[in-house]
Amino acid sequence: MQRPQDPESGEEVRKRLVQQSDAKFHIRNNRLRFMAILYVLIFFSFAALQTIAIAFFTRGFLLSRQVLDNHSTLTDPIFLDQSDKLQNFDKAVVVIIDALRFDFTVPDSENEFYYRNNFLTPYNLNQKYPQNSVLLKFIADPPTTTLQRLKGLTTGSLPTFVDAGSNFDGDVIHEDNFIKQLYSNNRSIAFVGDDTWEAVFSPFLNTSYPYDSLNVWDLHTVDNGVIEHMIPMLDDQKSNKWDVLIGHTLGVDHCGHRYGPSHFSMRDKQKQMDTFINDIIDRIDDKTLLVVMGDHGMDRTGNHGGDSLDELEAALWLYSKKNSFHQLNDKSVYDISNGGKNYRSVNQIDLVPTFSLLMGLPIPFNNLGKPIEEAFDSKDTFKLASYLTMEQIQRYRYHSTSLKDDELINNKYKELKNIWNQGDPKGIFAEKVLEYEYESLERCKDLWARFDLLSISIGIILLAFSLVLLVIYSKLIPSVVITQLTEEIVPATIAMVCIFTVIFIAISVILKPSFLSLLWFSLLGAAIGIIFGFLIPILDRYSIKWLFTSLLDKFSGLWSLIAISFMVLHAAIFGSNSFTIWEDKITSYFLITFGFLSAVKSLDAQKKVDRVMGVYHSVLFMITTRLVSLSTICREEQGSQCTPTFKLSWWMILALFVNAFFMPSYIRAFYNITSSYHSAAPLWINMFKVVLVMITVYWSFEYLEFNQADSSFEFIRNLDLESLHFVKYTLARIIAGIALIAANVGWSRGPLCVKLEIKNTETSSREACILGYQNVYGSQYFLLVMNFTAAILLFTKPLGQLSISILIYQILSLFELVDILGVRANLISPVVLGLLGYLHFFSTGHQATIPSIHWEVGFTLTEKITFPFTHLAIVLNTFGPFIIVALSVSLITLWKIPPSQKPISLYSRIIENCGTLLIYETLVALSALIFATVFRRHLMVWKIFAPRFMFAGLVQIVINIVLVTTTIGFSCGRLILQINRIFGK
Amino acid sequence: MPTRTTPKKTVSFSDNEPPVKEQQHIDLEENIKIPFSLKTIPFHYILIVYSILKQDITTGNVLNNLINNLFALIFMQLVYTFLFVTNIIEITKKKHQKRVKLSIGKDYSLIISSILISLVFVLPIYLLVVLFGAPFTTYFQENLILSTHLSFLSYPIIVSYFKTGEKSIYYKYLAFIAIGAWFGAIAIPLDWDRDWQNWPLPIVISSYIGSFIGYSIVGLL
Repeated sequence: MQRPQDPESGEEVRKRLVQQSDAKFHIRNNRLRFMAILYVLIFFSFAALQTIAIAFFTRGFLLSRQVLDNHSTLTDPIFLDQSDKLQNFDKAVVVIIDALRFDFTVPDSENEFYYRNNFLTPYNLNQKYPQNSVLLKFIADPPTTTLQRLKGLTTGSLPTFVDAGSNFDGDVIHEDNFIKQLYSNNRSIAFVGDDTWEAVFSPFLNTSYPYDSLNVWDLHTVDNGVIEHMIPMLDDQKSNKWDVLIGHTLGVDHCGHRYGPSHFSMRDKQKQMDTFINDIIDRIDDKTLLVVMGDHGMDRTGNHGGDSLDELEAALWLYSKKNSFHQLNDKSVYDISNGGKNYRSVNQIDLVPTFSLLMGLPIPFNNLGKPIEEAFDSKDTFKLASYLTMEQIQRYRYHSTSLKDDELINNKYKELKNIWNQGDPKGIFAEKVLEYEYESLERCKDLWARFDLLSISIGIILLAFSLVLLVIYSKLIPSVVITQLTEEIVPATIAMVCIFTVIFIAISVILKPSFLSLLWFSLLGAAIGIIFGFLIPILDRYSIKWLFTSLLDKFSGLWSLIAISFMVLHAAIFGSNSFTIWEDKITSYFLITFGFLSAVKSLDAQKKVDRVMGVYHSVLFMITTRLVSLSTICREEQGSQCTPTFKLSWWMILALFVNAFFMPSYIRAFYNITSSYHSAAPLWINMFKVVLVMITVYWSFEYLEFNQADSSFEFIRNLDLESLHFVKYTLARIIAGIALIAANVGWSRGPLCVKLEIKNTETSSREACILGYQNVYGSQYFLLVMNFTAAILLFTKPLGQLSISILIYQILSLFELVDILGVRANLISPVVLGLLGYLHFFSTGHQATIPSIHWEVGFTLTEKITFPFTHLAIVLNTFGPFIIVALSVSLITLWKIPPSQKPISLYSRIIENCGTLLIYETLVALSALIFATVFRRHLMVWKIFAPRFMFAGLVQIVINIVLVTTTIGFSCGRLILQINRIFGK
Repeated sequence: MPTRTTPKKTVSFSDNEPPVKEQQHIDLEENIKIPFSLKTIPFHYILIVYSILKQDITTGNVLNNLINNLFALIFMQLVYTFLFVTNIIEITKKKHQKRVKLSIGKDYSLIISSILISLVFVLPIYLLVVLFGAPFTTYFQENLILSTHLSFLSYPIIVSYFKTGEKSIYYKYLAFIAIGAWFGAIAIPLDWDRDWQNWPLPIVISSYIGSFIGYSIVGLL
């Protein structure tokens, strides 16, 4: 550059060149910043389109039932002068023992479980005084969550699936129900217990002592409160005026959630309840009816919400001090063998007409239940009760637009009415009316499971479009063109969204279509706008034929074919319930297949070191996958083929301590491969180690608390739980603060993992060598992944933490393989990463079912439900592996590459891989949605297909959010800009 | 333009296979030919599958059934190996084609040692089967017998390998057996409660089907 003969002009040239390169550099930097914003907008549009699609589908799939606002009164022609004949009691005491499963109440000769033989007062009294007591199995309708059960129990109608979501903030029931009836017939109601009641019935309760219901760690507060308030009210009935006293205890339910049914705490809890019931019996008089019931059962893990037999079968016990009941003649229906497997059962809603009539109230207007035969003192009173119920059901049917034209039921009713009017000469009324009531209920169940196919189709079509757009955008368009095209797509999309939203709002306002509201119409407009905004610039440039040939071209080659087979097979498993329930094993099978193929393929590598490392990483990848797949919580349908291994035991705590040292050290080993363990890396990894130790201490406390009473050490049994609690919460908050806030703020300052080594060599006196240059992007980006991993580990149960630790190992090992196999831009890498997300979702003790959600983790940071901490904890616990995967996807491109001279094209390759991950998840979600629709009449729809579609939808949304806000929005642009600033000149 | 590390361009099923040493791979690529021939279609596989399904396959009896049929397989593979090996055409350096000969008198040690090698291969195959998800605390014998079946399905390949030296075409046969076994797993989760779903029957049967297809059509590829 320098010209010695003309120093002045040489200096000028140099200046000019420096200026030029500076200008270029600035242009490039600004352009990079601009592209970062465009990519965020692009992925935001994808996220919006997919979220709208899922919202439409959900709206159509989870329909709600038509609620009639009519109310029954005693002056209705049906009940006029009739109810006195049946009224048997003036007062009632209702005790709801949450999750009182039926087999808790019948004796078991083998006495092998903690949960049997403790709560036998009902059974013993039933044996002794059959005319004073009725013990029955009480079948709940799914979903078995407390709010839904309370609605069913008091209104006598069937709740729908949608309501299940609103368990956290219940609404006042406006539908006719017996609590409201008590209130409007001037009976005063006193209530103690679960605060869901307060939310639902507060206007009707004269006295109320609500207790927080969702803190499942607390077994005693609610129960002690119920006992403390109820016993004095029973003792002193004159000064505490009540006609109906309701208590709702939660100890048994919480004990189930926390420890499962087979735990000694369950025994203590049940004994306490037994004593409590005895205390009540001592204090009631002849005109008082005692009702003891469970609102639902619990499965073998102690959870509920689904529709397995264990969750549906609760117990119902009616007791009175005078002879008010009768047993059926056929005593064999009261068979208590096998935990009462064949014991006579009644529906939960049957309590509604029974209780209403016994208390002299009209039957609530919307009731579909039938009276319980045993609860009436003779066959004749039962017949009258059945007649009144039939009249009420038919009146409801005539009022309901969707039910009134059902001639089959109407004819049955007319026939029965005839028999009744003739005075039932053949004595067949009682039998026939049961048939009528049964048929009527079944027809309603059928009808209310009807789906809104229009919304469902819109949802599926929109999601399918998003898949097509994703494939075109991230795979078919050549990377050279993508930056230009992105600049065209973004303004087009914004314009189209505005235009279509306005058009659709206009259509909705002018035509006022009945099937969609204004909000949904504008959402649909926005979604269509996004689709057009993408398609117009793309189709302007390429023909459909070209795109199609490009598709065939792009998706050929061994690895692409394998990736496509994994995707297609994964999507196809939802076509059968057997495959869907074994999804955990199927994902691990795919991953092991990948490991095997990559071992074989690595042998083709040119260098010997690559061959050896390739086989080493592949084999370890297979082994770790196999090991991880051993950890499972087992879904109920897997039955005897699966043994649950996801439990808490002492060796896991030990393993966690080992892991706290092992995990940082293997991460360091991966950093050392490219000599990146410098400057920021040691700081981060050592801090990570400290946080891991803290997390382990937190979970050791948790374990101590869990097993305190069982411990063989005196000092542990004497530990003060209160102070332990304080330490625990403080620790958890500190960890969350470090991992989620401090570490990420630190990361945003740009921690480089390179070191400038200056040494003297023979040729030149001082030679600079940048250590960690080979992996300058990856080493820094992975620190961010570590931040999120630490946060996720805090909210993950011990065995799950070991699984996440293996996930991080597998991800790092996968990046080495990707480098050796040269599949950075191939479909296979994001697909395998996506599969890892699924594998670890299952191995951290989750399944695609509602009862398997770890609700109790929500109380890690706070004692009560607090937005957003409880919600954040549950989201990080449930979707942790997916979050890690969605963060790491950009590392496929960034791991082990030196600073790029073409940062914009580097960025577009990251976008391509993010897009590929999204393609995979969208294909799986689309398939889950389609098959849930196809199987909407399937026996297992609410058990298997509907939960799977909800899970797919949520995964889709979570991955979209992480990609838009963090991977693309927060980290990648910042990182590439920074590296470009330092090394780009 | 994005800088991509270009993957190797050779794409074939042999990629699925165990070690390929680079140099031999290139040198010996084209000097044998295995033409398609009706003689080498392994009809005895169909026979054995039929025999397995015809015998008692109820729970608890699968093991005995598979052991009996293993002996049948080994015996028939010995005969089939003669058909298979003598169908291979070696191309000498001067482009002469000649058929490989296999005689009991000369090659008895090869035939016997190949049986031993098949038996040795049972162990790695067993490990692979367990790695792919077979139970390892239970069903030990079943897994072992499955691996033995898989190992002896490749017996003709082992003999040919030692007879003619390492050739990439052999890996295609092994790939078909492996792909067959892989697809067998599809039948396992199905809740049809059929006897043929008893472990490890689906894998055994589908690997027979896979290797039947392999031995039949690799000559055509």
